[in-house]
Amino acid sequence: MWSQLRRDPMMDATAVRWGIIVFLNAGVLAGIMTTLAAGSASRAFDTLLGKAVLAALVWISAAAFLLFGRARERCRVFDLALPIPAAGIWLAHVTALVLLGLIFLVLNAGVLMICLWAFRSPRFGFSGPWEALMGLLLSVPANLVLVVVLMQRSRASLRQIPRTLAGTAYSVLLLGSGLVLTILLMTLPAVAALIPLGLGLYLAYRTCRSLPQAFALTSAKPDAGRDFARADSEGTVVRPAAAREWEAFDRAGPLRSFSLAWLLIRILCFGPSNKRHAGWFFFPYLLLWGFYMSGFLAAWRFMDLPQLSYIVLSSFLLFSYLPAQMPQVQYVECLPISRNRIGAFLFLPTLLLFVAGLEAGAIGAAKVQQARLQIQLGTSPTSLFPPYGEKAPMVRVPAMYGEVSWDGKPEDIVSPWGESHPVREYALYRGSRIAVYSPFSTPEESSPRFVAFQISRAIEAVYGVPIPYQKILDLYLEVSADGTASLPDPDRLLADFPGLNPRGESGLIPALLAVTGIVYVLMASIYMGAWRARVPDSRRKAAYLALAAAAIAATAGQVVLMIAGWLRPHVGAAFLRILIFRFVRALPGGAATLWVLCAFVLLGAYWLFLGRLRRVEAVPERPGAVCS
Amino acid sequence: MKTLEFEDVHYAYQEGADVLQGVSFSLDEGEVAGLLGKNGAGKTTLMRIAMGIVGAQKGSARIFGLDPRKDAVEMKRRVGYVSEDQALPEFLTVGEVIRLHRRLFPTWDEPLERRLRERFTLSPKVKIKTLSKGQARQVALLCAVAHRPEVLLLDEPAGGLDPAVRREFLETSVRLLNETGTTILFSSHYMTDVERMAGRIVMIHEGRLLIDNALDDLRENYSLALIPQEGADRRRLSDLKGCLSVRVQGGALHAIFSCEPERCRALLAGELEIHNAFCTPIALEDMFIELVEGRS
Amino acid sequence: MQLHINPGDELPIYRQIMRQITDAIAGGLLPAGAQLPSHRDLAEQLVIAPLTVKKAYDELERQGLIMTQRGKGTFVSERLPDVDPEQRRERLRDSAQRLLSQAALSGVSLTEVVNLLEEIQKGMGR
Repeated sequence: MWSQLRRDPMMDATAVRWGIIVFLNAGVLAGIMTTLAAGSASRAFDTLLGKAVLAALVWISAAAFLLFGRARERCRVFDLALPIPAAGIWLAHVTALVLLGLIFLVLNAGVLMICLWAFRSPRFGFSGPWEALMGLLLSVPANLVLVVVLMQRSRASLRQIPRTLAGTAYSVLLLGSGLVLTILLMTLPAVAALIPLGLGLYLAYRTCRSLPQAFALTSAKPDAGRDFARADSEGTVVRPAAAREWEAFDRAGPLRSFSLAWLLIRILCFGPSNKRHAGWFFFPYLLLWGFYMSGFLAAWRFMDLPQLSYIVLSSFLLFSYLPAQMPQVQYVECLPISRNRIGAFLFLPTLLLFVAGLEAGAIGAAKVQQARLQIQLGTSPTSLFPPYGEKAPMVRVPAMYGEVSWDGKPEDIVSPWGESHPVREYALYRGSRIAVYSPFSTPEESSPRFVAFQISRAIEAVYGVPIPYQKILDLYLEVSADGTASLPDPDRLLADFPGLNPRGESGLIPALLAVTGIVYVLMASIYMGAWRARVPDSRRKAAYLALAAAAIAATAGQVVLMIAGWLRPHVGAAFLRILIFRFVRALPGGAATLWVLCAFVLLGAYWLFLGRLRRVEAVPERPGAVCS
Repeated sequence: MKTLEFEDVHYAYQEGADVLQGVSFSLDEGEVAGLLGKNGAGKTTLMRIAMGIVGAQKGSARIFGLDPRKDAVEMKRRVGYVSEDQALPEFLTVGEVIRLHRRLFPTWDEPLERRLRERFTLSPKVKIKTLSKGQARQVALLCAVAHRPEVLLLDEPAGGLDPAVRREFLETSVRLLNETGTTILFSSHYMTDVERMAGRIVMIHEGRLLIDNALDDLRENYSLALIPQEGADRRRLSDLKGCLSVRVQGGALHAIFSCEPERCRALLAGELEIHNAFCTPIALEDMFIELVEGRS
Repeated sequence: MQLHINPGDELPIYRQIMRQITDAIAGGLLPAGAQLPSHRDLAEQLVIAPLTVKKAYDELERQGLIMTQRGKGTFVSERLPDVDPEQRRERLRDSAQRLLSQAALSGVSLTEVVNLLEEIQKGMGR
């Protein structure tokens, strides 16, 4: 049984790749959760919607692999000749699937829990959805068993579940039902998880009893769908078609450039038959990722996102599709298509999708920022500084309007009437003299007048419109009984002073794009260097894993340093934003010039990519075998 | 300028495992050459180097004087390539594949395409992955031939196919030779096909060129000598001038000489006092076996 | 007339063609002035390389058995060339040797062999 488990078709490098994806996803999820929850949304996971979202994310990470890869294959064709009863193989396969799901679940939940545990201290003031997660750890495995058994019960007597539309719909339906069940179980006591578990085990027992001694390749009925792909054995000779089909073909005329491009996309961007669906799943994900990286969600909730921390991760994401595309080059390399053209189809799709998501999000964020005042008075720590988790009352502005003090001793703010307060600065890393601070901070002992003064200064810095602080004090500021000032309706200000446009673009996105592009090409170059006919397959897989490890280390390392107190990524992000903003303001032409520079950088990166591609030798044996 | 030229080509897939160690030969326009060699001798590698799919570590290959890696696009427009392991994208239909080739090759000949697709009884809406191996190879042949290439590289094109399909391949090639005067380099294990088509034979063994002669020359000027084993010294036999290989088989020595049977008999009688040798002209398949077995 | 080649034969393909054409001319199947298929057509018919057929035709032309007229085709020569009597005999030596060895093995006497030869010649009608 153990050896059959080891030989299961799912236990190949696909499992490792899924593991990496799940791990990265969990990390990103943890980042989002902690950022969201640190703000006013800290109670979000107590609501049913919050729990449902959490359940959905965890369940999908743990179970989505069932739709792809070789989950349909119970054993390899070779195993059919071995004296192992079909029931044994079936059971081994089901166990393998459940085990993999458990591993992914543990990976996912584990990363989440580690991050939440790291942030549980009162210093950060955040309590995570512990009970929900613990509940998930019980209910997801139970549901997984049930879903896997139900999936594998279809066509149980065949070696492989035939790939049909109905079959795929059934699988998707099962996955969705599993999700609903998971959410349902979250509202019931933990012991209720035994129901799906018991049901799953019972059904598995029934199936095992009913299986014949051996699997069949195809059902006796002719309409059942064939098992064998062309690669394994022969197909049958096709009867000659009606001349009408050829007539229609000839009438269609030559291939237009657009159709040629689409054909090349199909060949180069959607891999061999058994992996083609990955593209349909991955490309929308890229769009969403670009959208996330644009900071739209953050702007919507009036936050700044530390996108720059995720650059290496972004680059890896853009690169990660390349290993699936490289084996496809062999289909076109005997054709008179230049390597440059092939390179366009390898390099551009992921990048363009990312840029599309980025731009869409940026435009949305700009619109949101137009509609809401970019200045708030509060204590909730959801901006870049004060850094994550710290509460400090201040006039909050977008991070790029902050200041950097290179010797760690910023000057106090002095009001016209002589009231002055020290500024709270945040060191870049432990022991550093460089510090970042907001010149609009209002410590607890400041008077409401001082607060109004700071607000007025902030409006002038952000919008370039001077509004006297007395006006703000009289009309917009509310002072409560114990002397705390608050700005309850900031948008009223915006309505009263139409034409307030935030000055200047932050320049963050072109800078982000340029660096992402450079790192992407670096990764692609390293990987393509292993793509020669003389280099063994293992070296290519090693290159891919090394790059994945680098991306994980670069991202997770920041979290580790943060927990250890050495580094505060949010401070670093604020620091970089301030510098980029200053750079943009100093450039003639502002953000537009930065965009042009970014375009040049990307073109340079593309040119480098093409150069590396020219030396690649697409390995002709075993299409689709690399890093699978 | 030679149409197809290999010059001192070296290639190793791994360190220390040399596949090709200095192979040089060339083909003129309109020549048909058969490339022979054991499995793994380097025939496929040689063709891949000619197509620019892999790059030779030392030495060079040229088609029409063009470098296959630098002038790839221009060269590939005039070359057709069919290989046993070269796959067409499985999820495309036959029609899409043909359309793709039509668009990419400016010299595409539509009447020829029509003729061939009728001959091969193809259907445009069928996906490649549902075709049998023979039909898929026929599609590949159609795509390689319909643009009337000046050079045709066939790497075991008939491998694993039934005799009827193999014969169709030959007929199509002969047609192409007649109409376009294509230069053909093909490798095959079916000696009868080689004997029909090839004007020249190139044999690669252990990374080096063993034979590079006209086929008729091999038939007429080479002979196989069968000598009973007792009284025959293998060493002295292989040292004789003109002896290419010696092999022991079933109580007799098989030796190949580069002279006609008459002279071979005289040589054996004169130099080694062997009078009961049986010398005959040698068929290509036997020559292949003798050379390959007798030298390893 | 139908030609047939065997790729595995001891004789190279072009020689097989030459022999068959020569035999046909000698046996009267190809009378003087008869047209032969072009070398391209013959190549397609026999599924062999056109250069091979061309080689056979060139050799036959050199021997004077056939001739090519540009634009018209290839024809059997009107007048067959004179062959040196010595050469004529030498060409037959091989076949004669084989015939006599076979006869010796089967126990056929020389007189019977000569009778057989006369019988065949009468059948050929020349």
